Amino acid sequence: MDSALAYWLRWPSIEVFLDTYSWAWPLCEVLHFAGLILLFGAVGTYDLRLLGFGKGIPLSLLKRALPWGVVGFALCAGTGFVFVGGIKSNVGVHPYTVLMTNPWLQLKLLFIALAGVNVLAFYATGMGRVVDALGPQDDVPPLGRVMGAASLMLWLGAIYFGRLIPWAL
Amino acid sequence: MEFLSWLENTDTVTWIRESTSLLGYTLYLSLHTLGLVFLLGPVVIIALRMTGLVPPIPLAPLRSFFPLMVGGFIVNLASGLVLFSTAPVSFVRNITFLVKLTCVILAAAMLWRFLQYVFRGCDVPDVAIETPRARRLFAVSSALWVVAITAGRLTAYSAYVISRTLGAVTVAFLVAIAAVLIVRALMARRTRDESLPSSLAVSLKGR
Repeated sequence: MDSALAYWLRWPSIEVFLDTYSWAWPLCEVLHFAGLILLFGAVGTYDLRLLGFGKGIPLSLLKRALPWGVVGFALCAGTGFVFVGGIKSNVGVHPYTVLMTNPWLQLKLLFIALAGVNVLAFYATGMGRVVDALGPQDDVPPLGRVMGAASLMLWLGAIYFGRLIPWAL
Repeated sequence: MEFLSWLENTDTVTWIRESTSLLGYTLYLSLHTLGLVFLLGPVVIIALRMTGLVPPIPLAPLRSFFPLMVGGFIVNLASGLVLFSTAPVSFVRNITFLVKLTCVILAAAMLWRFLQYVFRGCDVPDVAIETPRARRLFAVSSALWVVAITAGRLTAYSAYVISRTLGAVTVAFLVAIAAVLIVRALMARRTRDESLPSSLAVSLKGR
């Protein structure tokens, strides 16, 4: 199991690409930040509206920005995959070792997973439909506000831990 | 220069630079990213709205996000000063950093003017945002943010890597603009179809 994961995590093709093109890693860093801003712009604003900021904007309308948050997430996930899969090219450590020993990467992945669970819970509990039906000035039910606060904290936490990762390599 | 090298070697700054504590360098580094997303989060919504990628979200309520944006800017100003103080002598000689700094100042000033014009100078921001002046201010500010963030990310790299990366970033930027234009065209077509009576839409599609 461990060796299968170790095999799957390391991408020699990505390593070769990063070794060959010196622009590839910094380009991914720029795109990672672009994705981050897009993700937080769409999702964070939605979360803050759940918490009561921006009253006057109906959540059913603000929801239409969320697909762009997904685009941001895809950018971050794709470039993040390059960072992990090709890390041997950058710092000479096997990705499996990094995944098993870097507490910040572990916490970051945990927070992203929890943010995913939070989204699923938001729609599975019907909260997504409840807030969709609210008027522009309406307050969000307590559970919806808790989920908004959780999402905000989890994504900000993911950003925080992400910045710490290089310091434990 | 003397002041900068004195600053760099003060006990406090040395501790921040070299400490492995979570209150050291990494705190200011992460605050610098967290402040950034608070400052530019609402800007993303305005950008999506301006490019027509989301339906016309009413703008006036975005005012309640302004304190968060200002807070994000202040956090970044403060954390940026701390980060600068850890290596001021090399930062003031780093062209990439100076480009970043210039772009940040200009981008923030343009964004401020945009927000003043759309949200303070006019009773109805939804009308003001359609004016050429608002579009110009927002476009210039956004372009400057893109350059500022790119330069910020590239500050640690060598001139050679930076020169190679600039081409790649430009290509990525053009691809993003093309993608936005394509998505917008597809969305416009869908709304047109939806707004037509179904029989007419079918007959138009048939042709």
